[in-house]
Amino acid sequence: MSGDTAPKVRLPAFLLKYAHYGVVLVFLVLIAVGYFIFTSTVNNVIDKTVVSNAQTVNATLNAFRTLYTREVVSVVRGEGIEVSHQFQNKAGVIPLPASLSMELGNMIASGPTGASVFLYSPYPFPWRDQGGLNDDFRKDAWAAINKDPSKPFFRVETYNGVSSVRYATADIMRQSCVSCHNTHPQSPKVDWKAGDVRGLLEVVQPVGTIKQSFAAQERDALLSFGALFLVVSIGIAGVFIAYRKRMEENRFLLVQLEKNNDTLHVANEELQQFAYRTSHDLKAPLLSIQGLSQYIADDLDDGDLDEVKLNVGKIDGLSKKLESTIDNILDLAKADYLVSASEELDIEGLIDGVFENLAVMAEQRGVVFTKSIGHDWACFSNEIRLRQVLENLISNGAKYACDRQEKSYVSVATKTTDDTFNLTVSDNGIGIPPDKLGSVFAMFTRFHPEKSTGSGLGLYLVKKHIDALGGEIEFESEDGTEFVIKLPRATKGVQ
Amino acid sequence: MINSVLVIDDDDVDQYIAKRALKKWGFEGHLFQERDGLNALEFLENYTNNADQWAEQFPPTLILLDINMPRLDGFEFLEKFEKLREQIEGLNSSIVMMFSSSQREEDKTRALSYDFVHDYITKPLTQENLTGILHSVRLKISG
Repeated sequence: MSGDTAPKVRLPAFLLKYAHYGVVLVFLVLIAVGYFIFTSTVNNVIDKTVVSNAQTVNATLNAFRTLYTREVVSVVRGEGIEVSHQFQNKAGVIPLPASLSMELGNMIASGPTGASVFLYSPYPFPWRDQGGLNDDFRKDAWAAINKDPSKPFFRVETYNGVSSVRYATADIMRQSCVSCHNTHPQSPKVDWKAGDVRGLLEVVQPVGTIKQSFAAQERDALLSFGALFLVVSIGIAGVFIAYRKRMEENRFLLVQLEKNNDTLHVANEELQQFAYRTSHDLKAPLLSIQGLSQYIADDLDDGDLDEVKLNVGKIDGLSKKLESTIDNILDLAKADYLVSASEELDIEGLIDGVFENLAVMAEQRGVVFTKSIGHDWACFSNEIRLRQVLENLISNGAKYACDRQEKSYVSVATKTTDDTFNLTVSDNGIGIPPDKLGSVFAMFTRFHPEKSTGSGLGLYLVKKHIDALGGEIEFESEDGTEFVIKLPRATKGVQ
Repeated sequence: MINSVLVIDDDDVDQYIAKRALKKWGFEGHLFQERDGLNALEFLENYTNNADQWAEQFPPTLILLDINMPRLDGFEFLEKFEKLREQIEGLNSSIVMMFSSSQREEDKTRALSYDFVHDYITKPLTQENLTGILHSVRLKISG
């Protein structure tokens, strides 16, 4: 990946990595906003209801008073009945419209809404003890209503320690009242005109009582809201957990992918080296044969039959070398594709079979094969793989026998431990040069090119087979070589 | 005049073929043979003794060098030989020719990047390609 494109790829990956936190955050914000909207709506409804209640009380009193003045007071005054604020317990006296309004207001105040009603004025109505404009609200209301008597004045404030809506309207001097007020002997002011604002009618409606009547609905709504919150939370938690799991899986897969990539890289390099070397090893003998053929033809022309015979021998050797290289390559290919079901092996028979195959070579090199059987339990392994392993190790032992030894040998020994089946192949040959000890199992390692014409693939193949069998192979080389193979204790059908 | 040739190859048959090709071409000088790069390098390092022993036959006029060899391969030999030439001036008269079974372009390019490597021929060595090569070597020596 080039440096230019890397940041473009990294940004969405970063966002993806923390997307689930983002979802949770958005959810929490939504919940907070929802709760805020819900509570402010409830409070708004309550406030509106309080004001509406105060308004209703106010309007009722006004209507009642108008009706009382027109239909009762105006009628009875002509009949000699006195209209006065001092009406209680007096025969022939009915209350003034204002006084009756106050009585009605007091009765409403004792009702379920808890509203109080006040009728007051800056003008000296001496028999009323409502205190005139004795606080800020009354003064503000008086100023506002005098400017526009048609509009009510109200606000929410603490009244007697209780949060309340105070709702005031103008108390207008009606036409039907003007004459009476201007002539009544107890009237404090005698120059009234119809439409004058003579005072204010205020309803004080505590918020608490109204709020209480909404308590049940509020609780139900909150419960529903809580339930919704819970359900959505569970959903979000599910999404969160699933997402985290998916991310972890992705991370795991990424690590796997990198591992696989590394393995492929190594395999690819190995393959390239293999292709290079095999093409050389396959081609070199052929080219030599071509070269030799040319001189055989020359020698035949010259009648030098001894030289011809020598060179035919060389061609024979080269074709054998070529054959062995091809065999090795085929074995390697098999090593990769061999299905290795394990079976109970006749290990002694296997060793004897390999000895037999290599008998001619042993005789040529003057090497004796011996075996020592010492295993207690049967070996379960793959016969084809193990045969190739033994063939390679034993033939190496024979090929690299030491001429100085009086009696050259290659011996195979079996032994069992608790968990491993051990096969030891040892010889008293020329050993492995110290500088090659590190690359014994590498591809195309040849220790003694002057001694024999190996492909350099034998021990590489051995290691491949042992790996496939799940075993281990160790060696020591000093006055001869000893390979120890440790196969895991396995049962039928298990590799 | 080609006084002597050194063939560096681990393969006995290829050594034999080189010898036959040189003979067929009419080479009558001394033929040195080494089985790998390391042996060859040791032989060339021993300059004074060899010069005494072989007179005008040493150092070899032409070195035929294989690539795939144990211990020290052709390329490793070229690296070491380049340094050796700086130390021993007499070796500068030797001309190296690669002869290998590898037809890979990269092997060819790599070998020819050394100014003392004169040519790259693929095996087998025949009298025909040897004639061409030795002709150009003679031109180089006399030029």
